[in-house]
Amino acid sequence: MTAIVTEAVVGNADVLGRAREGDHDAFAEIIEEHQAMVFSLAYHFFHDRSRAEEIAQDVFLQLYRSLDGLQSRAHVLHWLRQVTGRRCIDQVRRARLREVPLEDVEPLSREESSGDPLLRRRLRELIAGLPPKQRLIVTLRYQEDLDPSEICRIVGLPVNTVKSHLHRALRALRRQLGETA
Amino acid sequence: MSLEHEVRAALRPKSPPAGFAEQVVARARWSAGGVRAPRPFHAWRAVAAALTMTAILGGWAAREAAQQRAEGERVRREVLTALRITSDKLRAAQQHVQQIGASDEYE
Amino acid sequence: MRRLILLIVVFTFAAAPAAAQPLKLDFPGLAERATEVVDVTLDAQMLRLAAKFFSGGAGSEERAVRDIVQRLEGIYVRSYQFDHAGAYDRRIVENVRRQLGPTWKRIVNVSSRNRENVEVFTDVRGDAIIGLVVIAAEPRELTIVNIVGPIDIERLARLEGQFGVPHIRIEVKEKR
Repeated sequence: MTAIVTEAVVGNADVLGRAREGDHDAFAEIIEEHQAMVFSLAYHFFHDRSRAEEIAQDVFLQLYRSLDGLQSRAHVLHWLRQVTGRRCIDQVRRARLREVPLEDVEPLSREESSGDPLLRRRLRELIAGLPPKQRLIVTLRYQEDLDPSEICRIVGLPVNTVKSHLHRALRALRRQLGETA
Repeated sequence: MSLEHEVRAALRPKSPPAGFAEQVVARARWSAGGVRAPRPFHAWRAVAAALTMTAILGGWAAREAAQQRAEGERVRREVLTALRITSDKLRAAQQHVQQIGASDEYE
Repeated sequence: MRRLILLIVVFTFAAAPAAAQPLKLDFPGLAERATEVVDVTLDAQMLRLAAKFFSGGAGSEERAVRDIVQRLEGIYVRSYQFDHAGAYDRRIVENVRRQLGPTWKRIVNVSSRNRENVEVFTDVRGDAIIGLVVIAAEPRELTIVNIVGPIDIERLARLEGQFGVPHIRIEVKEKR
């Protein structure tokens, strides 16, 4: 068992090494491993597939240029989460993108709470309407299943601030759902 | 069911469109200058081959392309017609429901 | 053992189809009685072709339509207009409804005595909506729409207001 694990780790390390040396197949392997995570972070942030695809492409191109500075698989994962989060926040700041105002979000009736696709859609819309930092923190917490202590290293905020954002975000979501239920 | 559970379900990872990795790699190759221009020695051969192929297949390909374009445009119009009819009917249903909702409020 | 594996495979595919089955929308003689007829029959192959003719610029409206269309397995529309009321047999509507299996749910039913009656049905499997049927019946017009394939509500929502596609409010109340 140990041998298998070691082999797997070495194999992944090798992929990173090969990608650094310009092997595009190895780089494609890295993309395929992380593309759903990067795309989903951006998608859940903007609630827009086209924008998420653009951001994800840019993030991976930046990764391609930054491969020399990345030492391990874990480092790549952390780097991707951090850069994707920053890009999302920066886009909101720079372009002053239209945020989805909560009052524009379609209300969901009590009967629909049992219909999962609709409730999930409603939640995604509500999350897309949260302030940018809350939005990112909620996405990292529940999409990536990260603890506040891990999130704080990605977003560069104190752990208590992360917890506070998380708490406020959940309270807002609960209130919005409650109002329309 | 808890809100956290539902949020987790709502934020389940999604896949990017098919071919995403290939597109990124193609852009990476391009940005790294990985797309090499043909060497001059081979250029004339490529041009000659292209001209020959064009002469043989050009007329046929153009006709095929025109036919396919016409067919594609026709199907595109049908898709838009279908979406427009669907939207009209959904809009009608929505208006009815809004009227019902409005009258309920005053009752 | 092989039979068991086969059964499991068959069951798996039967339990989680990627798309609802298209309905039979043949109404002999109806088109002849109508003054205007729209008959759209687009199967998966046609839709793939159509998708190529929607431009793919990031964030564009056309791209949104293309993204929806290229995942669908079929779009079928029958719409008939008549020059007088009662020109079609109401049993046609009943016949369409009967084709909808137990996985179909009516999410909208608007009925009024002298105006348009609209019913919207969806086929929901797990998280996914894999079929949509709209039946709009009024005295001088009958329209039936059947969309087959994974219908992404989020993508549909992004079409709102584009190409004449309206806001699709899912929270409509049922009126039985």
